[in-house]
Amino acid sequence: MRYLFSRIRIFIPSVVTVALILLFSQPAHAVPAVGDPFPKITLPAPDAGADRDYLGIARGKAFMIGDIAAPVVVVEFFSMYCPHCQADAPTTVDLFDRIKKDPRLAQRVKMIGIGVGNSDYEVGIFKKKYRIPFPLFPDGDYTILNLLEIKYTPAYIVVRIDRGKATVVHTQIGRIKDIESFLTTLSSVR
Amino acid sequence: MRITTGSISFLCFAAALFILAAASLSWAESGAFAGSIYDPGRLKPTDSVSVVKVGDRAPDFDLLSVTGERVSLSSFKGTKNVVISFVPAAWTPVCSDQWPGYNAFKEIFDGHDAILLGITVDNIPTLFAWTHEMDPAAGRVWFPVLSDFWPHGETAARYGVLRSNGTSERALFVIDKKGIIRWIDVHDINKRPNIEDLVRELDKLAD
Repeated sequence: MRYLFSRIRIFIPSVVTVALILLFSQPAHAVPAVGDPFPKITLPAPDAGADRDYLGIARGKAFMIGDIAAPVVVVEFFSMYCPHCQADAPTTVDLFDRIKKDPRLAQRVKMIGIGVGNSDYEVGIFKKKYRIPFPLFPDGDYTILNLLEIKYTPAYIVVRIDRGKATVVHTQIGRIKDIESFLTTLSSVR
Repeated sequence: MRITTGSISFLCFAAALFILAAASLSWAESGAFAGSIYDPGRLKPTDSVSVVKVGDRAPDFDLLSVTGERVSLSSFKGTKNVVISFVPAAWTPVCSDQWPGYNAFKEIFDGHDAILLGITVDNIPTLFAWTHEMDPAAGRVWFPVLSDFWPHGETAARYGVLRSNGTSERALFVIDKKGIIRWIDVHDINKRPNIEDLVRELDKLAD
């Protein structure tokens, strides 16, 4: 019996290891489905006053999506290195302008972008080249991406905010091919 | 050899650490390449021995480009600063991210009177198909893409960036108009170099 126990004991670390691997190798999160809470990501307050005013965020204060002063937020996940993100940049500018010109949507919808794997500098040159009018934030070490398990960029997640609670109401992986349809989706969020 | 509980524990712990480290590496694929990218997993960060250094004359080469011309380094002497970007292989995660960024920001190179030369050890048909996806509208990238396929990896070897498996390192070389190497970045193959590091070195050429 003692011999048997000693043999089993040898394999305890292996069992623990396999358990660890199984635990950690499974994605902790997946692309959020409609109805899921949006992950609690923390973003720094934008340096530009116009961006802070747009989002309703105080200077120097880190914030979460649920803190944005609007009932609907479009979160774009992009990379300055991604050809489809580059190609979609003018569409996002168009979307921003269309929202701005619609009195109802202008009051309700805000847009932000998160540059996955991009440094602050890289997000800056993307913003400058494509004249992106909404705030962009770097996710240089993929911290935010890891919470969402997004495999392809660009990706767009529409979030409804209700008393600080952020809930996913629409997800789109890939380019915005039909801006009218996207606007209809934004209009339909209650 | 006698296998002890301690040695098994150590091996298991090391394996767990390795797997967790690999799992924590993240990347998102551009939709442009959706489903076409082969992920080799985490690789040894560098796997070559340097043979050139900053201040050396850059080894010349004459390679075939995807557009059919031969391109030599010496043809830019006296007229252009040159950035050479070696990437390990077509259709792999980080490489498929790096060059599209350079492709979209040509003005960075133009602003430094520089040409970018992209080099891999892949053959021409592979490079043609791969770089086409980086800009489907144009059908190609703006910079010369050169094949170091045959003699296999000869140019990479002369720059000291040929890995033991026949691919190249992920490496950047900045060469001034006199043909002198001014910056070398043999990067961790698993990570994309930040573009600001390259811009900073290009800025120095104007000093």
